[in-house]
Amino acid sequence: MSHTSRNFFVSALTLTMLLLAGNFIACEPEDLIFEVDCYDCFGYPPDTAELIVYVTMRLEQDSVPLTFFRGDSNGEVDWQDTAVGEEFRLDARIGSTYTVQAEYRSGSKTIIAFDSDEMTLNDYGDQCGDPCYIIKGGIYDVRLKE
Amino acid sequence: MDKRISRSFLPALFLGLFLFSVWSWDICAQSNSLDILSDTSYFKNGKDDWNLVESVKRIQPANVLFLLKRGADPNASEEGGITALMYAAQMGDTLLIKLLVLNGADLELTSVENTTPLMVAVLNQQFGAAHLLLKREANPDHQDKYGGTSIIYASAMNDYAMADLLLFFGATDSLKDLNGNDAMMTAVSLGHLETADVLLQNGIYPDNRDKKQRTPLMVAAQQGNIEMLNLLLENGAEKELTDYRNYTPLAHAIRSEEKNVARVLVDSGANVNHFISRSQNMYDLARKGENQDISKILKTEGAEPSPRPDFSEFGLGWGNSFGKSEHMMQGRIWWMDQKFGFFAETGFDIRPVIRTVQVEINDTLIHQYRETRSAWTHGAGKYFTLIRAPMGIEFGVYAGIYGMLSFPKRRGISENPGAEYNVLPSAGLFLRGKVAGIKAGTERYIFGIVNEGPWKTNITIFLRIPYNNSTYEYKEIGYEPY
Repeated sequence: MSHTSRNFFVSALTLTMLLLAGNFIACEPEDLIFEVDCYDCFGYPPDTAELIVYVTMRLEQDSVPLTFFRGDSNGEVDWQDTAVGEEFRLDARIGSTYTVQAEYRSGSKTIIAFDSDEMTLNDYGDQCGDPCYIIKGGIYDVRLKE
Repeated sequence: MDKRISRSFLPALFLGLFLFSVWSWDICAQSNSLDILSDTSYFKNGKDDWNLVESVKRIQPANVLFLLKRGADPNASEEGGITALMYAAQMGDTLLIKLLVLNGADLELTSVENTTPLMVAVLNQQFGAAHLLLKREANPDHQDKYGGTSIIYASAMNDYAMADLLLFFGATDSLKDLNGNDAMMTAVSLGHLETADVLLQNGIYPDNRDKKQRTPLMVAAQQGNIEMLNLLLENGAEKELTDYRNYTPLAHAIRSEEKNVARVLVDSGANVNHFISRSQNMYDLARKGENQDISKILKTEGAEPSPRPDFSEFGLGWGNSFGKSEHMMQGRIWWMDQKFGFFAETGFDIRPVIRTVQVEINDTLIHQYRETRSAWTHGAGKYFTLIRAPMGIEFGVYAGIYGMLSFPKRRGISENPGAEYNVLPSAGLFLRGKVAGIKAGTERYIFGIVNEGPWKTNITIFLRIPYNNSTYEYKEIGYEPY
């Protein structure tokens, strides 16, 4: 390989790394957490935990109706509630998939936002020494797209 | 007595007597030297075989004769199977050789490398020793562990007198080593003009081929050795023979960018329109190598580019397509025509993160989903090179048309919308070297999402992988004495 071609190749590789870095920056923060925080451990496996729903609060709509379906949006309605802040928490069963539906009104239009997730229980006893159960998932983003 | 006879006879008689006295003195001197032992302090008791080899190495013929008479094995050898006779041949000491041979040394005993005493003499350019061994009927065609023969050795050493001697004693010139190189190929590959000349004068066929079907003329062309080329051409070397890649000598000259060799071959009538492959002729090869001088030489002889595209390169690309609210990551593989710049491409696209998308259901209802998307893309296009810089750097524009079959998946929705097919026009700029490149441009596609901008920016980096005629192998022969 000639000197110039090698330089060109190195430049291309550098650009690849930059583009890869860009992809990671584009990822959501929750996707980038690879480490286990042993301070978040439960010493026993809980049956339920709080799921979190992020919603958009606007001047024209100070509350957002939420519907929780078991499984997908065609599933049985498990809970209905109203969010009055940007973060709504609800105690739910671990290991079950829920789909959240949020209803917004914008002038004459109705916007129905969906998101789905499952809370899972992970055993990190090996890494943290003591019995350690950490809950992952259970985060629903039904904020309105700008 | 006739006075004329007596006048011519007397000087001849005196000359004869003089020569006889000199010969007698030499014989006496030799027999005296053989009678008197040299230093024997290195002798080991009870190890006369070892002592014999050591005496030969120290060039002490009296000691050698003494040991042979005392019963030392004339075929004694050292580690590696190197016999006393090989050492004598290496040093070119004909007296030692005679002593050993007359006392029963085997001329055909070989070392671990399967070399004979004759080969050792040839490798060490000991003409007298080789001559003596050949007169004693040493086999001139013995092949070593690597298939090398004495005449190949002589060619490798450019010892044309030795080559001539070996041929005189019946050496077979067409024997080849394990790489298919005979004496002629060896001489040409190593640029040994004198030996090549002697071999050709002895009537050696100039077009014997190596394992890759290369002829000496091809090698001379590759090396740009004009003198060798002319010698071979004068001796009837064939200009249109082809090797395993269908290269003629002229193709080798083009590929090696040997302008002067190309000129000689073209002037001697080499075919400038030979096709190396279905899509590549001589002119294409010169143009691909960016050698304008050779291209001109060929063009003046009527050569023209072949009209067929030359799909002989793969490309591997990794790109990102960004829009107002979209980001698709792309992996691509394409098949590239190196001659005209056409390409056919396929690959996959994935959205690297879950994205929030809105879809208009009707005038009053919008659904918002968290969506992932993957796609299979395929298409074709063309690169237009505008600037060719040195070292194979090219700059230009590209244009293509693609089809994208994408598969959206929305979280929590059981009835996903199914596959969507989009047609994507795409165009932009590229900069590429021989190994890698980058292209940046724009492409148009829509996924039917609210507020989606149809035009996306695309940046792709790629590797170029030529798979045909990409690497050019120079012939090399390496010889090391045993």
